[in-house]
Amino acid sequence: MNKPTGPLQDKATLLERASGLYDFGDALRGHVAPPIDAGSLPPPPLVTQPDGSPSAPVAHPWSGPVEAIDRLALAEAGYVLPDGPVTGIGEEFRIVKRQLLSSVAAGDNRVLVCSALPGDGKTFCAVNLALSLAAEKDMEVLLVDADFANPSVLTTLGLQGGQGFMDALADPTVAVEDCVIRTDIPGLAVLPAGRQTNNDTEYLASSRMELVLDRLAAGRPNQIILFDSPPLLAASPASVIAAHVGLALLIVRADKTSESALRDAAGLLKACPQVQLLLNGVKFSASGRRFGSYYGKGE
Amino acid sequence: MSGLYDELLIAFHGIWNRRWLALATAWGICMLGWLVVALIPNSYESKAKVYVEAQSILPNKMGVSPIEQQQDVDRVRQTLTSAANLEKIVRTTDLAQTVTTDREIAGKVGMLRQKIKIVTDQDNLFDISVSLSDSSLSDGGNARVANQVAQKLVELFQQADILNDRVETKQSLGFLNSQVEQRGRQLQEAEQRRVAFEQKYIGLLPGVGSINDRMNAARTEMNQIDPQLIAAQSALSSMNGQLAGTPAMIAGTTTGGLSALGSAQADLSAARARGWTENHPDVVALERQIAALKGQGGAAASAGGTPNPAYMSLKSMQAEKAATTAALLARKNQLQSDLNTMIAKQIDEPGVAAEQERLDRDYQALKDQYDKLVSDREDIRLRGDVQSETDAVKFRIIDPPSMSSVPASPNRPLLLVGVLIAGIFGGAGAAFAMGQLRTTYPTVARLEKAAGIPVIGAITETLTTGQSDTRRQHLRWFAGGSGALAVCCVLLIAVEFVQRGMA
Repeated sequence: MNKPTGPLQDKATLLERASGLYDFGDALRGHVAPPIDAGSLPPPPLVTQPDGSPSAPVAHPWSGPVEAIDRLALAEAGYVLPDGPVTGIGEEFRIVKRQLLSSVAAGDNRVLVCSALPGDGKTFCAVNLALSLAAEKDMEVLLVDADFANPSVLTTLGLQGGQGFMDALADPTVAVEDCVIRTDIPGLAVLPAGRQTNNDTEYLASSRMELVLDRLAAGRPNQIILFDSPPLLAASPASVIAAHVGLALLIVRADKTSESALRDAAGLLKACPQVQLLLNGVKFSASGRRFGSYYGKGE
Repeated sequence: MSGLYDELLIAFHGIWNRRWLALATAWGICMLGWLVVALIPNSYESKAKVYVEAQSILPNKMGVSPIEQQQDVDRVRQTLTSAANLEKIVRTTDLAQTVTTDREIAGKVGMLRQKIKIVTDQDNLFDISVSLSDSSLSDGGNARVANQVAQKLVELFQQADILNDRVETKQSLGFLNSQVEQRGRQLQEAEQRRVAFEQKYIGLLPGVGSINDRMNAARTEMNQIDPQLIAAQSALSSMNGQLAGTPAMIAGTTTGGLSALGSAQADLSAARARGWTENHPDVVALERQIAALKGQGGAAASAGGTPNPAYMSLKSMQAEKAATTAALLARKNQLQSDLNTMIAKQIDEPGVAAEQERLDRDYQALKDQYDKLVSDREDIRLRGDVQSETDAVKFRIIDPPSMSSVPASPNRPLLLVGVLIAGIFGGAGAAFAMGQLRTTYPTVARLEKAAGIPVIGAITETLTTGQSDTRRQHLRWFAGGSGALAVCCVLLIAVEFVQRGMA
């Protein structure tokens, strides 16, 4: 892709330097989102910067609104809440999360959640993964809704939102951190899709994309950015985003996604250095995996 | 093994996932199949069993072999299903109402020929079955006509069988008669030829048989005569020897003359011893006496010795031997001359022996044939008498032609159920085939194997209450669709039975 190389190298050196300079524990303590008390703005959840180091990465504090997610609707729709009971699907996402973390630990911590066709469960998996990752003690998650044509992350979580990712890409005057919505779940922030344009792909491919992404990641080494994307075989943005992420998680719907669709989709993800699959909607288990019932038995 | 079990489960899972396709296919197959089953015309069958016992008294005569029995069956079948018979049947049964032109009759005849089956399972049991599925008749009409046809066939069978057997007997008798006559003539001719030949050649030698036989016999006899002759001759010569050594007369104990002479001579000797001279009167007297006695007694002594009995018996034996020898010699000479004549004849006409053998052979063959024919004729004549006098062909109807309101074929209930099962399996098969054609991934293992990309996990399907409600609704619809298929099948079977009840 037409990815600018300069900033990437720049960023890599910055990260290295950052991890050299700051100890993680410090950073973590700073990153813990404050418990929400509606109305009052929380203190900037920023790491305290050591003074007098000009080359240190600047963590831009999220300045968007703080909103409470609709836990009832989420629970109703079968999502896994970090503070909810242990469920089968929650356990499965925990396994996926561990795998994902071990995969991204080495490199780029941007993850694209994509699938071949609509209805395979991208948003479901992305939101669930985000919720599950947010429960990690030393992690924070930024869920980016990159499905510009059909943004559904906000409605799923029951958030209002305003300007979003596309606004930041299209309009240089919009600061991306102003668009990030903080939620009442500690460690979970959401970046809405923003306005709809007819040139989504072109904006995504522009050099500003990398700048925006750098800005989102700057100063947050323990942050994972999850992109919810449009279907690969239905819209082009996902394949462009794939060039900017370190890992693409291709959702395969059990009993639905066909072999040819899978091959086609995998072909579109060539730009991504690492592609992994996640089988969603499994109805058949030969091995007898049944999570969720185990915890109930102990009681 | 567990892998196989898993594969099987996965296959079932795949079919279940495409259950709507399976249901649609099953419906399609069932509808088509049921339509086809409905279009198959009913065929009604009427069966009769007939027992025919022929040749019960003389079972093995006239060569009633299994093959011939089969031929009999074929003959009966062909006779019964001949065009003339079938036409008769068409005209006399209800089929006549459905036909008007000759052409239609011909059509019905052709149809009937295929519908009539005649089989024999045992020796004399004939099964006659008629199955009709004529579209121009109602179901009941078909059943009735089938019954009528079977009835008619049984009648025809009865007539045909008896008639044929008698005609056959008569025919074979006629044939045998003509053959016997012909053979008799031939035999006579051969006999005449033989007699003429014998007159010409065979009188030369005694005995029986061919020339060669007779010559051989003559030679054998000669060979036997030769040692006999030699024995007889040697016996004769030894007899002659003995005879020569045996005196014919025995001398010895003579009375009269010989003793008087002796006493006279003794007296003379005594006189001389006394010194008497010749002139002594006594001596002179004695000498005269002796001289007289000598003349007398010498003759008496020579003629008066006793004959030797051994000599006598030897003499007679010798005569017997001589006669035997002479007879043997004569016989030998005769045989020799006969043989010589015969040999001379053979040299003159070398084919004679062969000619005689040929004549003999011809004659023998003709005679054998003739004898056999005559005995066969007698058998057949006897059998014909038996048939005509005792009515030997027994004809019994074991099962009279049946009449059934239940069609013999098709077995519609079975077919309907069969179509249903075929539909179910067809639907499942279609779903399975679809799964094979459009590969999807039910499990992580499959996905990993197919894609070659690491799979980091599997998320079980979660359903919201709305979704599960919808799914339950769909499941209900599916159950309804499947149930409707079964109900359809049951209904069709019920309709079939109701129809049967009305027919």
